[in-house]
Amino acid sequence: MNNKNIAIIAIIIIIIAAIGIYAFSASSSPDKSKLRISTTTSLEDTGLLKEVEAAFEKKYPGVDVQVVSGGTGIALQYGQRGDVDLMLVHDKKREEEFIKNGTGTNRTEFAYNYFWIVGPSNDPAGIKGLNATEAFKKIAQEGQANPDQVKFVSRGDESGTHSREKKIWNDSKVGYKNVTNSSWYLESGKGMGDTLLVANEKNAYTLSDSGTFLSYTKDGKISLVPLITSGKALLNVYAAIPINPDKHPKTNIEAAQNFVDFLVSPEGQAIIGKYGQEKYGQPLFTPVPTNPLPSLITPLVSVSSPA
Amino acid sequence: MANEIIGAVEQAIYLIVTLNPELIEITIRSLYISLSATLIASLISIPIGGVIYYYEFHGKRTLINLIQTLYSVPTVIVGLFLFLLISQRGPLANLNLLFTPEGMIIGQVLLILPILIGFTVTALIGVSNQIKELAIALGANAYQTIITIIKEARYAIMGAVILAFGRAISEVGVAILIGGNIRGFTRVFTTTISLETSKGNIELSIALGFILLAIALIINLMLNYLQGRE
Amino acid sequence: MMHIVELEKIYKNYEKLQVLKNINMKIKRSTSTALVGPTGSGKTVLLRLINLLEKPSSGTVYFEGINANASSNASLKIRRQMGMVFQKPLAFKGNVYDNVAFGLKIRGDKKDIKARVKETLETIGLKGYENRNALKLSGGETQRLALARAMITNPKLLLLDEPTANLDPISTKKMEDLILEINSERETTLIMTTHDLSQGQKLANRMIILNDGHILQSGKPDEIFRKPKNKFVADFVGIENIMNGEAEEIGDGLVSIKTDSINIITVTEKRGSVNLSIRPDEITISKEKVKTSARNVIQGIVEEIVDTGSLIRLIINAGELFTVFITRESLTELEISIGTPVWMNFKVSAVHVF
Ligand SMILES: Nc1ncnc2c1ncn2[C@@H]1O[C@H](COP(=O)(O)OP(=O)(O)OP(=O)(O)O)[C@@H](O)[C@H]1O
Ligand SMILES: [Mg+2]
Repeated sequence: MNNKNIAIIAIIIIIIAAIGIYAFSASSSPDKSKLRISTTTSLEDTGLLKEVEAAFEKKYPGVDVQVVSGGTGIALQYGQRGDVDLMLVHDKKREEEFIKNGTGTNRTEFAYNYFWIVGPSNDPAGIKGLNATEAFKKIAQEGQANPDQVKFVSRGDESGTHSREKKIWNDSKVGYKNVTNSSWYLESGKGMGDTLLVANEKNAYTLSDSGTFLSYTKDGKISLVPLITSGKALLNVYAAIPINPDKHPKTNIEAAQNFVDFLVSPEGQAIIGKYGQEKYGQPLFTPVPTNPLPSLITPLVSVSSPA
Repeated sequence: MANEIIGAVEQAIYLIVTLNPELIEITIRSLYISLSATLIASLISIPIGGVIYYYEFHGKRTLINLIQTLYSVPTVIVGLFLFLLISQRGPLANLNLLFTPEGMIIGQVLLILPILIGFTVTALIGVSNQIKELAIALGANAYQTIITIIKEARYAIMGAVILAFGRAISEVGVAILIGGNIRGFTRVFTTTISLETSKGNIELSIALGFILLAIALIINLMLNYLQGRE
Repeated sequence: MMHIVELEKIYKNYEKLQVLKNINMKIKRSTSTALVGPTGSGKTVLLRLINLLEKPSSGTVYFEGINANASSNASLKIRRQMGMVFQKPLAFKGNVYDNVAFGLKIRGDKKDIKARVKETLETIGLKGYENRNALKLSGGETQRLALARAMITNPKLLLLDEPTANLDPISTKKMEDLILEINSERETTLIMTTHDLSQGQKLANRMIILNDGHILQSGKPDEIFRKPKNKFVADFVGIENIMNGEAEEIGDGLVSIKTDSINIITVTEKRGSVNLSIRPDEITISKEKVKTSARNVIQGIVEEIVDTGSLIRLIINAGELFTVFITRESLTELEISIGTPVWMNFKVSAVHVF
């Protein structure tokens, strides 16, 4: 290899090193302890964590919070394998499994909100005022009778929202299997945003999280309206689970527990309660201790650190 | 629909022109990770490609076929494979590579190695055998001969490197599984694009898409310039 | 003195195709050898074996007395003492300077590269070509570049495969002069292949005639022209008046060779079926049968008259076809035209039997 080639490679290496140093001079902090939080994209998407993280890091300057987001499945895997210190999830059945098999130390609920059933403002199936299961049953009936007028668009992507939708179809006795074969039932196979756009285009109903819905209406991308926005079937509870240091000794349990405590502290709860007010005109979450959960669901469980 | 696109493009241009800090940060990080991966993978692949090309050995054809098969391995599979290695339950947990840019670099290196090796071999085979013999006849040893052939095939190899860089910077499987899409630490073009799109924040995605295209354009112009000088 | 190259019982096969058969040759230092033979006779393969680019199927190549293919390391060392110019001119990508300097750089010989490249390019007639794109040179320039690239390392042995095959007559002349100069001034041992006998004669002090993988004859060019060992060589070197017949003793130490239609008297040890040739310039022509000291006096009829410029070539049918040269004056003096009967006279010593 001649000198010219060596020089070229050296220059490339120097450029990359320079970029690297520049890119990490701000964020690299060797003396900070890392707190890794895994969460599903749907929570990350709302932007809430960004604000909580900033406030927490202000209070605990020695901790660098890193929020890892992926699909629901992989987010749980990260916890199961001890790759993160704390999980923020909203799937009660799986959370309880985590506690049972010893992966998580405890489960602390810190916020809740509701999935919304949204649809065209003229509400062709007439579901306004019903509860979620009744509404789904009505949509199925009207859709069957009048497939040109009444339609439903599903995400169909095995996301958390999609699995909740399936559960409601089954609870309403219509049966998820039956609706998938119907002409009034459409699957977008995409994320929430795209699904809302499709529903808007088709004048159809859909199940949405409130954050995405509000963001799309605010930008004028859709003209759908929220029709049912509460009730047990639509309740979405967010909980925090620190990973058990007995099982995964490398995890940063101290910082994890601090973060959980911060979430339920008055300061943390205030952030949660206000989040979204500015951007969407209404908050996206209800903090748990100040507004106790509706009596329909299991009472709040909040266990403090075993240490 | 058309208005929406125009509006989004306008905002994207606004973000770029005003040097939006998040945009700049993600751009620099993406470039750093994918350029490093491409450089490291090139330094590994080109010599390996040279050796595979130069020596006749048993199973050479099979090996080349295997490498070519690996071109189309989904990026998620590479990400998953590496994840299982470096995760806390994996054998290489102690390296603490998960959720780090370095881990992403390694993942992208693994991802583009087959393409780089395979295309290097193809590029070298494309050089006439007479050039190889000329080098040998003039007194080159095995190493010097390989270097000579690599130089003869330099533009084809450079094309392979650019292709590999393109695959690295546009992949999402490794970036999400190994990087974890941590804001300010491992978030890159592709993970941001998929995140922002699902949030309905189309402007940032489009802006990032523009920058990706611009990078591709610059690199291709560079390659054309070099080839023009040949 | 030790030979620089020696080939011993070399055979070379490609699959079932036998390309070289029992090649034995010894090349003396500072000599110039021409491998001559028709297309496909194995010249290039032989040169590649000497350059150690290929290994013989059996037999041994010695360089300065040692087995040159003993190990790849030994081969490399030996190859670095040779230079090779391929039949097809070829250049590396890059400029002329990098091409010519290649051998020096590869040998780690970094001293005065610039000056040496400059000097070599001047010798070769490519002065000032350093920064030219090597791939854009003309065929003749590339050929010279190849020679420069091979000779810059001052090889002990320079191998040239058809060095003028792609050149016009002027470039050929230049290249031939260069080759002569390299051989005489640098005392480089030369082995070259050529189709062209006269080139072999001009450039080499030894010729090896190759056909179908065999060495048919080797020796000084003169010797080969005068005394071809067999009919193939004779035909190939362009000897005229070749015939064959039965050799019989006729007393006085003389031998009569009976062809199908005539008798030719000569002196030879050979008996039975033999080939013979008669050098055209040793045949004289007369209109009438004259008394001369020539033992062979044969009548024939002029069949063809060809003006070759300085001399006139006559084809005379005497049962066998003879080629004879006469001057223009003789042609008019003797009033020869097509169909004229003439007498041919030549001495016993003009006949070469093989
Ligand atoms: N690598 C090879 N594989 C198979 N056959 C070969 C190979 N190299 C040469 N030959 C054959 O060996 C014979 C001799 O070839 P060679 O190139 O030595 O001929 P040559 O005397 O140099 O002819 P020319 O004057 O046309 O260059 C030819 O019949 C050729 O086809
Ligand atoms: Mg040849």
